[in-house]
Amino acid sequence: MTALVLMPNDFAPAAAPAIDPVVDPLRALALAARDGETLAFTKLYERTRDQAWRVLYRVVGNSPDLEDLLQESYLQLMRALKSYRGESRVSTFLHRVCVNVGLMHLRSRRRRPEDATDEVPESAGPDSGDPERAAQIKQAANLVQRALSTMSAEKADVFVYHDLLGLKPEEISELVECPVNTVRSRLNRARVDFTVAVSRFKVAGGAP
Amino acid sequence: MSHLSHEELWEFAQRADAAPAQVPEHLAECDACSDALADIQGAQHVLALLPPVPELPKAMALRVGEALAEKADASLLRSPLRSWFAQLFAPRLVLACAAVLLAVVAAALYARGQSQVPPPPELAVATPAPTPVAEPAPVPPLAPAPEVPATKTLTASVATASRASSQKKPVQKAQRLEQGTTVATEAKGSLWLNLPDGSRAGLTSSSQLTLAKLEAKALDLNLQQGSVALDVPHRAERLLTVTAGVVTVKDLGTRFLVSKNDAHVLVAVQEGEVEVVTPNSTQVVKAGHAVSWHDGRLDILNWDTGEKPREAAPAKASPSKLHDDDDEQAAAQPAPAVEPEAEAAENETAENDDDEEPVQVTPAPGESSADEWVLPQQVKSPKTPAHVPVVKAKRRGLFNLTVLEEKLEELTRAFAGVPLRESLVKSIARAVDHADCAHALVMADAWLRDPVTSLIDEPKWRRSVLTQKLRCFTAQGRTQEALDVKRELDGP
Repeated sequence: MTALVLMPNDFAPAAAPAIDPVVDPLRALALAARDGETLAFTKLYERTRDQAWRVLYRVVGNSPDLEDLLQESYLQLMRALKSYRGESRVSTFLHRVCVNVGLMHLRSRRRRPEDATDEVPESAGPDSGDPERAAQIKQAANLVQRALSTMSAEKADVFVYHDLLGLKPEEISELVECPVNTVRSRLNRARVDFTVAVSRFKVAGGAP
Repeated sequence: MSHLSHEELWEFAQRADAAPAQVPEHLAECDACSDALADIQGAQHVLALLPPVPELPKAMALRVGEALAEKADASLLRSPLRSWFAQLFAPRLVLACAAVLLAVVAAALYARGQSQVPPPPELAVATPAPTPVAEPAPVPPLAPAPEVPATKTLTASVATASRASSQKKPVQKAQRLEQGTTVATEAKGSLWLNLPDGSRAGLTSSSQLTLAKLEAKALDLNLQQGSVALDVPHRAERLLTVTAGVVTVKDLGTRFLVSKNDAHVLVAVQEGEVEVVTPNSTQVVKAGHAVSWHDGRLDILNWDTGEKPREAAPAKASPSKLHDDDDEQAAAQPAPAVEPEAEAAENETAENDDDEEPVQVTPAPGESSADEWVLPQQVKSPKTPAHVPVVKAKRRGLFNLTVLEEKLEELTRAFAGVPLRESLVKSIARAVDHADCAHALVMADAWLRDPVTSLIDEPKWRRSVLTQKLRCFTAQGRTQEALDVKRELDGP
């Protein structure tokens, strides 16, 4: 299985396309934060936290660990900033960090089944008046997370980007740094794995 | 026909109407493909059941933000010495050291193997005579351990400095400033400080500021004169206050400016909000607004739009009251944040409040359209757009202090011109009443040097100032100067 540990040079790929600073206004903040301006990092967090939250929520669902995962994502970003050269898009990198942190969390939870039964925190959960519907939603989220945790990192990444976050193959290609055709083939294989996993878990635990 | 691929089935399950005609035909005949399609539809159904992502809970966002701010302080603001020390333990250096050590040990072992020859007899028996052991020197008693302060004090550092000094010595970039240090700027000088919590404080020209308290949970700055601009991330566990005379400004997470001269204290808020505490009232000032404390009164001004105060109420020594509130209510309890129309204006500002864009100050007629919060442009990066806000050229500050000063002068002229001019006259009179003639004469000369001929009451005030000068000269026995002033008073 491919390691999902972020390496420092993840943040500054050699062949990264030139970033138009007008398109990526976070770049200036990231550079200021890299140079030791803590206020800039705070601002970076304030401007990107909603995006990070959406990605994490989509990957790990309504988990009580979301707060820790959000913090962990930004800590990884903070560490990576030290080698940031301003050549890659900050939001892209944050996207990737959040997906990785979320998937790592799902895998670690799979290894520790006693932690797998997360209670839904009331503050962040969707408010549904229908208990049956709420149970269905919860079970579906649980199925997706279990299926993701069984997939290889490469496939899970592409699947999350495309089918959970709605990114286009071209955008995913930039995120995972591989050709668009590779993204498409990975996506197909990921869908096969996902379908198989969901069918298996449905049989084991009842359909949503 | 062979079986349909998983990709074709997935596409068919998503959009059956867009699929080629042979797909449903095949599915009608092939049980295996139908079963596979059922599985795919089940998987897609599970995906479709996923709920929409709710908003990030505010409390969580704040908690994470505060935790990250602390980590950022520790991680990004490491001292050069510490990072130099840490570099010693970089994996490459450790490996290199280990390799060198291994080589030395191997060389020593090899050399030992080569020299297994017994030493010459004279060397072998040449045992040195025992050296007489000196009496050990008496150990001085241990000095008493210094008392550890209950609260850890921190230091601020100089980000940029121009014509700035501390304890009458010029300050240098990156210089550490201890608690209790007073820093000052000369005319046309400026100084940016990095405070220990990541906030930044910028002194405009002719300003003086004391770092009264630099602790993890409390930062107090004491502004003696001039103006200080602050860019402060809000942290619940830390209180930042700026004291300017009797006025105390408590940060509630913001960019704001505090300005003090002999006549008034002005607090202007660009982002967020601050709490202004005066001897008589407490006022929360929100973005786009400013308050001016003078003559025991707190007036609300509109910093953004350039609107003048509704009326220039005559200054009253006491009791102090807020400009827009009823007398008793204002004196008795903390006032609400801002008046309704100001609130509406502020909301409009807040809707457009994207930190990436500098906030545009709508100029009043006749005013320049300078944006006092515009950040310095990056010098070395032509690609950086002009509107990107937190970009520092050579670690410059977040605000342009020169432009800020200009704005402040405009504000003084536009908003507080009349009351300020009048209140200065009263300040001069008060100083003379308190036998502080030196101060009174300085203020009087400054007042007379910059006449505002358009004001109706200017001649009356001028006579009052001259009278105070006369009182001072008479009290000090400066007869000739007193006669000159008298002549001026009696003149046309």
